[in-house]
Amino acid sequence: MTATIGPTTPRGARRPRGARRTAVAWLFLAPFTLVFLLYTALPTVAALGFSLTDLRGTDLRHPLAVDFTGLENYLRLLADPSFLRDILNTVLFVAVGVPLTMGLGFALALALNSGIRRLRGVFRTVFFAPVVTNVVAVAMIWQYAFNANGTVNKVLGAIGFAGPNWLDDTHLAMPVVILLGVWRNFGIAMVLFLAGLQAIPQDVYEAASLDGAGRWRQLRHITLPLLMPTTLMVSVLLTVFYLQVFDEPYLLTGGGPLGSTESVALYTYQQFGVGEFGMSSAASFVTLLLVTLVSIVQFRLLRPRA
Amino acid sequence: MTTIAAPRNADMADERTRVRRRSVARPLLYGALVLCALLTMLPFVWVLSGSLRGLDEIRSDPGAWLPHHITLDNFIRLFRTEGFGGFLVNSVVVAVIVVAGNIVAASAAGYALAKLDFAGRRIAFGAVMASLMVPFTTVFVTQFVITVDLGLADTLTGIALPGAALPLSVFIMRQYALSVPDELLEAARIDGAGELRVFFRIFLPLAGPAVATITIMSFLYSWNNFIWPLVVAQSTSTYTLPVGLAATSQAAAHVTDYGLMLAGAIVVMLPVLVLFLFLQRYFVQGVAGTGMR
Amino acid sequence: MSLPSRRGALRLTAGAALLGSLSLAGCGRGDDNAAPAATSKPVDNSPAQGTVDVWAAQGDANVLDEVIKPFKAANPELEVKLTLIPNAEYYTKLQSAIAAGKGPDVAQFFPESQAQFLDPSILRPVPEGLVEPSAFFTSLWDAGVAKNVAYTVPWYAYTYALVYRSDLARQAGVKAPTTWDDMVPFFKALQRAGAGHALGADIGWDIFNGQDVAMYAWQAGGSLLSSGGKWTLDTPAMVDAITYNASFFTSGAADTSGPTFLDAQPYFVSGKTACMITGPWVIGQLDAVAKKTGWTASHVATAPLPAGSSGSVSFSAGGSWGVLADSGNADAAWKLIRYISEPSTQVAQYKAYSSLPAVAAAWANPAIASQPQLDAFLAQLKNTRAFPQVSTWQQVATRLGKEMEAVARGRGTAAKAAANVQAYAESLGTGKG
Repeated sequence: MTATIGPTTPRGARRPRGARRTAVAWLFLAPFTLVFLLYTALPTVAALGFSLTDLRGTDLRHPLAVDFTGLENYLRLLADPSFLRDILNTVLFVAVGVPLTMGLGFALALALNSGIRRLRGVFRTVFFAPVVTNVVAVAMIWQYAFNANGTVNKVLGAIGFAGPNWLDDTHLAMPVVILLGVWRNFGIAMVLFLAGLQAIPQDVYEAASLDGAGRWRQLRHITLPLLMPTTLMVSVLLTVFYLQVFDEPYLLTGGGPLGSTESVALYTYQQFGVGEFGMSSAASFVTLLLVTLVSIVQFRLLRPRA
Repeated sequence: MTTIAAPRNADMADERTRVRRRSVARPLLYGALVLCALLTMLPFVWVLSGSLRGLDEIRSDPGAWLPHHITLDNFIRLFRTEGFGGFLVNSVVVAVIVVAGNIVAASAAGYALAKLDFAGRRIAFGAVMASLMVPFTTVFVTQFVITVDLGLADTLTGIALPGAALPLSVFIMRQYALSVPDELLEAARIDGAGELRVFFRIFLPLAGPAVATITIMSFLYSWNNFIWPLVVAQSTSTYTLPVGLAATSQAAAHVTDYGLMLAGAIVVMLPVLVLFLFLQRYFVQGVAGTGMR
Repeated sequence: MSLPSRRGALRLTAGAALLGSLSLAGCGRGDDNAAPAATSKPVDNSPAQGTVDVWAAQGDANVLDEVIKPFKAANPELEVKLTLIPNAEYYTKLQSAIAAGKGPDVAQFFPESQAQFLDPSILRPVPEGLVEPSAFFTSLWDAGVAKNVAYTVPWYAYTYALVYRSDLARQAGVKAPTTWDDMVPFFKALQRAGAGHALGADIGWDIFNGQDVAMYAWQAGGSLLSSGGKWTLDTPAMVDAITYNASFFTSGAADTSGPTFLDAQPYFVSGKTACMITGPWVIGQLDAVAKKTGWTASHVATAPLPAGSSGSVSFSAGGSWGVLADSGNADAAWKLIRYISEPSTQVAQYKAYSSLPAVAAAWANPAIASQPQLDAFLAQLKNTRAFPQVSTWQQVATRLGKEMEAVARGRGTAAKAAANVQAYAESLGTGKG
């Protein structure tokens, strides 16, 4: 295929007419839209409805008979200090966890992309393996490792430090939970960055290095800018996942000690577990709101400048 | 397409410095990678070790790193578990439906959002992003009601359908497509190709890394999914692997069968890792060298 | 994406939401056989027919198929389909199925957490004359009663008693504590005899801890819910209960980060802990952990919980059965449940899985009566109460567990904790009806 440039014409003249292009586009979108409407849009709207009622477990068979309570669930949520604390916990998890995960994933993607010939596949697989593992088993190991007499403290003891009881300390439990999250997910960041790095044509680098640009300059002026769409995607994805963090606090600490690691998703789940469907839905929507706001901010900040 | 100019002497000197720096940096890089790899693998040592220990050993000394006696008992019991073959087949069928759906439906949607300018594009993308953000707990009961109304309860299709077009896949494809130069596609259109042709003949072959990523992510989502298949299945014959394994580990009297659980963890991990290893080379393919000739 | 358009979209969504739930509710009812509201037609003795779908959680139900073999033989026209569901997700799956109208005929429940299901739209009332309520331990039967209608039939029972290292107690020259005041000295003595921590406490700081505290409140003479439906949690009895429970930790007898679930029994066997407040299942498991048959018999003893000023009351828990309102074969379903409630079946269940009978008469069977270590549990079961049968109890209990954590760690006072729980419970109310 040749990249011939035809006779210069105004852009519009060579494109199919707008209406046909719209029709084609929606054809492309059709399968996704169908699944989306059925399994996401409809249930979300229903859940919004539930959040405005006092739907409970006993109402499951006649959801229409519930009382419309308006914003009462939301008010109860905002008045619950546990819920507010959980929001702070979750934000902390995201604020620390996302940069760490992204940074690690990016560094490894760079390293694996920079001419390491041998064992590239092995390395990539090893780093991706945590993403794939059964989180229940891993959480068990983490609990043992960070026990008062666990491996981590044994290692620290060998170099002369007396390790604390990590998961029992209200200040140290969250870092351990974050560590688990980072360990589990950096492989995804790495894979996504790898794909993004691959989209950058080699010629651009060759041209630059012939022009005398060193490694760091290439990184700053070629890689990072061209990687913006990928960086935005990784950032948004990780933020969205981490704002809904559940497995790590649930399995590692149950939200303790003293609720210092309890996340909003854990709160929502607990409400669901006791049959408080109205409250659970309301908590989900607060999460949704939070996630949306943060994502909008990220899109504004990281939008690729064309 | 730039022409390669004759190397200048100054360039050669730079080149030599660069090579020297690289040969020092290279082993360091390898070293750092190996260290990272070892740290990453530590928890697996425990899982693997646990899966090779007898149940009594686990119960009496749970925290040990190395087995006192290595035994394959857990794996044997796992494969002999009633219905194990069935769980495996179910998981595979669901995964195939989900992956196929994602590669076709989600790729098309992502491509459209990135490369086609059409009315309603912003709303559509907003909707994709919004669906990423809706927590599972919020929607799964209603999703189940819908599944039942569609007559898909207790079927593998019912399990697979909600995941057949993941917003995650759409997002990945869209972002990747944004990096693909428009010129390639424009050129094809100028040559008279219709949109479908541009997508299938020009774009998809270039989208190797993204398709590989989508394959892995959607396979992973489907393979490890637990609550949803549990809710949809009405009988054990529809259980997928994670559900079947959880059920089996709890089949022992009063205690969770940790040996079986850990052996199960290893077995469940393997197909994904194998798939990932296999897809390696597609991660390497890029726009480089195929577009601008 | 500008914000104003988002707000507009939200308004639209709110309006569509009610429409959404309307249409869904309509859809969900499609498969309903119109369930009779409160009729309980008497169940006769003719053989059962058709199919009965039974859902149960993994655990005691693992052996159910075997245990009901005689029933299946006596009812050859009946097909019993048993589905076992992973324990932790059992209620989630059941609720989803109920919401979608896709539930079974018979479902297992847990008395301590089944209040949210006790509604005629979900369960059928137990027919008159099917079983004799007084045959069961009172609190277990009461746990299935809402507004004077019984919805569940008890299946197996357990309660908590004190399980301790009899050898260490002998060494220290102490006997099991009989009153609250004896408890901490007993712990201290065990520690002098070599135990690491006297008590291997359950430190999940969740609903189970809350239930423990509730139990201590009863022992101190308090109640949780007044007969008028008002929460009575901020009482001197509750403060005493919290202080008592906290004393386990503040006296050094128990560790607030205690043994994890995997370690609880190994710690007990090795002497790192010397007591557990737990259920009867451990009796059958300790030999395997100690890798020695007969270890339990020579090293372990049990005793009812020490009495507070109002006696040694405990809570009861276990399993129960209910028939869903949507069931198309209620007749066969009740017959199966009736069979499971017979003393001989209860004993068979014990022999197969060590599940302790909910039927008091079955305890007289030699298989059970001959086990000295089970005596304490029987004594305790006869002195149990049911938790408040309101749908908000679980949340209140969970909150109580969390407040307990704060006090146990020295971060709050018992008085404050009681006040907090009362305020929380009042804000929740007692659920609908």
